Amino acid sequence: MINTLLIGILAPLVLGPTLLLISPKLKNKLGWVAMLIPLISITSIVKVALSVYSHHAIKATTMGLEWIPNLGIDFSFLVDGVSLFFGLVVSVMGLLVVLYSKYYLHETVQDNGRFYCYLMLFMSAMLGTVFANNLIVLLVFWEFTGITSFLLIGFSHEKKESRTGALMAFVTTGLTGLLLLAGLILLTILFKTSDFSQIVSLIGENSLTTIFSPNQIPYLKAAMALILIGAFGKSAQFPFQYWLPNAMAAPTPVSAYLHSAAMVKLGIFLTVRMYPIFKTLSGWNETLLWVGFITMAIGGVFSFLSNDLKGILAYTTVSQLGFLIGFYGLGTLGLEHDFFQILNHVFYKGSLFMVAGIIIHSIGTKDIRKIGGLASVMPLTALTATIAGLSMAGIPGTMGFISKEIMVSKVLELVNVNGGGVYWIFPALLFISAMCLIATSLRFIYHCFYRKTQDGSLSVHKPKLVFQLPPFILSLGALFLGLFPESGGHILNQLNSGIHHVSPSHLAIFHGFNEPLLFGMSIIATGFILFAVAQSVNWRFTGIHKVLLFETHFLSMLNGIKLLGKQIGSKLNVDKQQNYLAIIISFFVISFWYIGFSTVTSNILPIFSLEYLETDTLHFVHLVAGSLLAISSICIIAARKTISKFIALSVTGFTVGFYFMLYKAPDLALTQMLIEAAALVLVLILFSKMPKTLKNQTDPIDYTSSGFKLIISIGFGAMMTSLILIATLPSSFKHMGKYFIDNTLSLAKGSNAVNTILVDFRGFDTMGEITVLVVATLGILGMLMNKKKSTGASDD
Amino acid sequence: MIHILQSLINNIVVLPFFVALVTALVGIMWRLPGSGRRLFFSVSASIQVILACFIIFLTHKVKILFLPVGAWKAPFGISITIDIFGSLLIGITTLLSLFAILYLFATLKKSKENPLLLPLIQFMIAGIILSFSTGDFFNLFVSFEIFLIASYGLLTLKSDESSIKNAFPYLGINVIGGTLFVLGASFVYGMYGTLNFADISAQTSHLAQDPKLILIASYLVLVFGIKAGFFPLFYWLPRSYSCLPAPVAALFAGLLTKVGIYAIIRTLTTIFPLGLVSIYSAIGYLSIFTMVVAIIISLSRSNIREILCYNLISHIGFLMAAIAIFSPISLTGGIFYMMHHMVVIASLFLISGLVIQITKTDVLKDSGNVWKHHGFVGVLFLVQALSLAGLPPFSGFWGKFLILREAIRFDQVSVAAAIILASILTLLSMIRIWFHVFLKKNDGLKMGSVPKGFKRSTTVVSILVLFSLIMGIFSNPFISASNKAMSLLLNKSRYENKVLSYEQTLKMETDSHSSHSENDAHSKDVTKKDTNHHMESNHDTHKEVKHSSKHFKLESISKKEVSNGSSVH
Repeated sequence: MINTLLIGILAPLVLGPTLLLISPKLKNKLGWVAMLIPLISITSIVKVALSVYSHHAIKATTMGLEWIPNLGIDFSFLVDGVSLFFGLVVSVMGLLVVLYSKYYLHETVQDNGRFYCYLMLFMSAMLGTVFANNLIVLLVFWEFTGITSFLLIGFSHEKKESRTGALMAFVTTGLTGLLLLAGLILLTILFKTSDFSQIVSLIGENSLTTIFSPNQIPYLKAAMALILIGAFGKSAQFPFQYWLPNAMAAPTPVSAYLHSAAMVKLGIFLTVRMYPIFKTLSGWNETLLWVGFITMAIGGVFSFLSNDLKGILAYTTVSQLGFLIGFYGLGTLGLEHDFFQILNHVFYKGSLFMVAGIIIHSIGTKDIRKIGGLASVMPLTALTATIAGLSMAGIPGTMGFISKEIMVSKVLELVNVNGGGVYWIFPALLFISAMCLIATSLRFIYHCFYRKTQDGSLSVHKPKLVFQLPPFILSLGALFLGLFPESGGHILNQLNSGIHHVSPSHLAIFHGFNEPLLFGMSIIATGFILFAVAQSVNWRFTGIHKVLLFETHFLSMLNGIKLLGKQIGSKLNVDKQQNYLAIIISFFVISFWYIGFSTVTSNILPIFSLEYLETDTLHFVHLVAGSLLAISSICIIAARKTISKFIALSVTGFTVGFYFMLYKAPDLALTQMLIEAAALVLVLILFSKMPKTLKNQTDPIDYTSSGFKLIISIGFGAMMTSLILIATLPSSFKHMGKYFIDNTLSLAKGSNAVNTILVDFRGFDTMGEITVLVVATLGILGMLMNKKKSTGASDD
Repeated sequence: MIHILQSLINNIVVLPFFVALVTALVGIMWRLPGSGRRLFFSVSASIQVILACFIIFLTHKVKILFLPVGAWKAPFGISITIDIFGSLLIGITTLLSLFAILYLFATLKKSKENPLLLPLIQFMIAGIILSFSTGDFFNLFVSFEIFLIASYGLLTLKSDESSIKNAFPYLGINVIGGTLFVLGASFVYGMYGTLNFADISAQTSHLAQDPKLILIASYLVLVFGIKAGFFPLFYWLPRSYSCLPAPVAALFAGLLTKVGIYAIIRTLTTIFPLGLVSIYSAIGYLSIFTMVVAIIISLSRSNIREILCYNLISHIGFLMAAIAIFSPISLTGGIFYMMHHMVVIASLFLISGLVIQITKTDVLKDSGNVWKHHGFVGVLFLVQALSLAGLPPFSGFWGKFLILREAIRFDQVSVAAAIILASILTLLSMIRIWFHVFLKKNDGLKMGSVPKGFKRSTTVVSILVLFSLIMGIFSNPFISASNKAMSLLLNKSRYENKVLSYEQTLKMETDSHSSHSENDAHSKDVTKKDTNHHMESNHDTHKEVKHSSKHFKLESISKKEVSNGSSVH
């Protein structure tokens, strides 16, 4: 069975790219081939569903393959009611969207391979996410939906707005996805497994507080918060609601798929998935309630204020997603009929997006103020839009009405249970949002299809009948479930039995006269009044103030980061090469002394007492040489002419050579003297070739910078000195130098240990150093060669 | 015959280095660039890859390969020691050098090829390989010198005004870094009387609390930090890398900073005692700055390669975080991340080279149109960019995942936050390149005909991209290899034993098989065991190190076995 499921999930991933290869041959017919892929997925998912279905219930089953055993991550999947429901929604919608795209895309023939490829990759990612059992696998697919949706939203990539929309969606969901990752990591650390079904069975019916000790509860809460942020980001909940309307820059089939059925539902999905884990944790319900209801109200109001056809739909989607999230926030009250609500939304919203696509495709504008009277041109679409729009409004007889009624009754129950007070805000928010949605839906239907156009100048390109079919099918679904909620609810309840453990109440069109009905009716009445009022002022008030549009803040934040980067860059002098060295050396000095002082203890202090220095070897000569060295070093800094600096430098070198003599190392001294002599001669020769200006250049005296340099130099000198003192402290470690001296004659057949070390004991190092010399020569040669070429071949 | 084979096996440790070195020398003799010379270089680079693979094969059973150069026994002579950490990095190094060379052949006309270019590259590779395989402090310095001096040569090879100007800070700072390094080596010698890693480790095993040791270790970490590109020591990096030709820049970016990180990891694991908590926490603070500051600066840069350079620095911060947390899993993640990053950043530099071939510009503003005309290059870029940003299932994800996991587990909230912030900003900076260079329509840009060799160079890059894709999707062998590398790093006595008691092992190739498999099995479930760790709020690095002392217990058993074996003999 795992193979069947894997075929269902991975077939689009594997077969999608092959569409790219065959697209040049098939051109416009590619859509038919592409439809095969969702069909494969649907078939395999149904097959898997049937195999786990018995006694009117789905038996939750896990299956998987080994993936990264080293990290305890298996490629494992969970087949239960939740995953099957979402899996079927995703794949069936995928099929309809491909059918729809085939007609929508027919103008951009050369790109349709790419489009279907992205769409299939996206579908695969979605299916993987909903079926995943291992939390890390879930995250992998979750992020993959983000990547593929980035490609889909930015499909018309030469337009700036579609790039911006894609950027917003990707960065927002990317950031929240990373936080989700952190949350899932916390969860796996706490439960010691990343296997979802194991976590759930570990919890069972226990409360989290009984499983975990009180000091672990904050971690659980942090995990919950992070996971919810992930869900909210994907489902465009407050404060992340801004990306969804901007993602409308995508081609309409993408909006119909991603933004009604698929990607935005992932947050809802995650909430359902995590429900069994967090349901007993305080804060879970409250967060969902507040965020959900606030989003619902914002979405409702903004949709009422928008003029862009897809923008309106986007904000109603935001509102509906808030509705669904808020629904889960009602706790066990809200778990009933959740699939019913979700399916409802998929049906009417998918349908409306497709309708919007048909309108845009036919008349080429998205501005609702310029559209009108399309019912005569496309009666079927008008019918579709009416059914779906009324369902969105929640008029009696539609599925929307029933879900609203359920919601109202639950919210009122919540208010009663908690004794009113601040809880009245939830019915109020619900009221505002529902009212706005009604007015918006009416506007959508009326303005697009039934009102007369003001100037009649619309040039309509009549859509094909098949093109209008997918939205019609979806709206029929909405109609069916609205008229026969019992049978619809019955089918969905069988899926419910996976992880929810609730026996749902009976669904009907009419539940009798009661409080919720009254509340619902009053919403509808005010909604109609609102529409009438708006109509009378000709919707002149529409448009949303910039401050309320979070996308402007988001974009200015991105810009701010960029400016910050510029500022940090200039503060840190990244472009001023002359300061590099000073910065690096000062960092060295500061951090060394910081570490030095923080580790200073009694056993490091004796270093500075100098008692251990064998004073009897300290001759007068040493002191002279030492002070000569110091004086010449100071001269290097103090000298103002370049040539004097060089001479002072070589005095230092010769004095070091002298020092080697004092310590009876004639080889070293000889080498040092030779190098110094050669270097000095070379420098002097070079100097004679230098231009006069450079030769006579003197450093200008700048007291602040010299003061700074002085401090750094002293710090650096002190650092080196103390390191040398530390290194030369007498210690108990046996020096291997003694071995060399003892064995030089017997083993290496040479009496000079320095020589035998260089050529025998550590001959490999010498070979390396010789290589360094060769390479250095080559480097110089390279520079000279080019110099010659550039001067010689000027006619080239 | 068997004897020769045996000695060949023994000497295989230095073979990759020698092959690279000899190739470079032959290249110098073979003066004029031509087909034969190119064939010779590519064959040699392939041989190096094969040798590296063989070494990985030899070391992957948690075995340490050791060769005392000139048969001078361990603390006295130079010891070449390759464990699995080193062999993995050698593998990636040779792989990148092969691909860079092939790319170079595809894009560079034979008549335009500088005869010194290939030898210098091979010298650099030789130096890098040596630094991954040496077990001696001064020899490490020598190998640094070799690759640094070769890199100076490569930087100034074009020797026009701007490249010399940009090379100068690189040169200056690295010369100073080299000087500080050799001084550091002399301090170590002065303090512990030895330069051999294993010997230092054996001498200092009880000195984890010693302030002198902490001081010298932190000095060395800082010195290597210059090479690695720590904040604020990274200044030399961005400008110098971005003036190099693409394949050379790819090698620089992929390899040079990682040598610094490698040296730091060696210093803190193999060489000095574990548990230098103050150094870890200092690296932790620096890692936060490195991750965040560099990536923010990258967003304000205006050309592709500089953006990539700042990304590179920011991701060095990830590796620093892995070191700072210093738990077995974080080190595993760090090693994996290191391998991933070498491949990905190198291939991004190669891809930017492809793009520049098409658009003739490196500046975001003036670029555009690439996605429409060269979709495949776009796919390559997208895969590697997402991998760089650490999105699953690409290779960047797993390393980041493990490091983030450990940061969360040890309550290092600020490190975790910095990782998340740096990841999202990396994504943003990659999207910036993607939008400006690939998606944007730029009518002012003439899309000339495809340059010669473009197809071949694209093929070369796509193989590299495929490799990193495999590393991401089928990550298990790579993670398990990193895990073994980590367990050997923390399991110091094994390294010491191998090097210091070589005389016994030389005779009978001891390392008895049973102890191998035991260790192997152990290392396998290190992470698993660790996954089951409790969440303890006050769990600090200290405890973690104690936790890893389990290795030592196991180690002592195998040590006994070794000594028993030799006494019986």
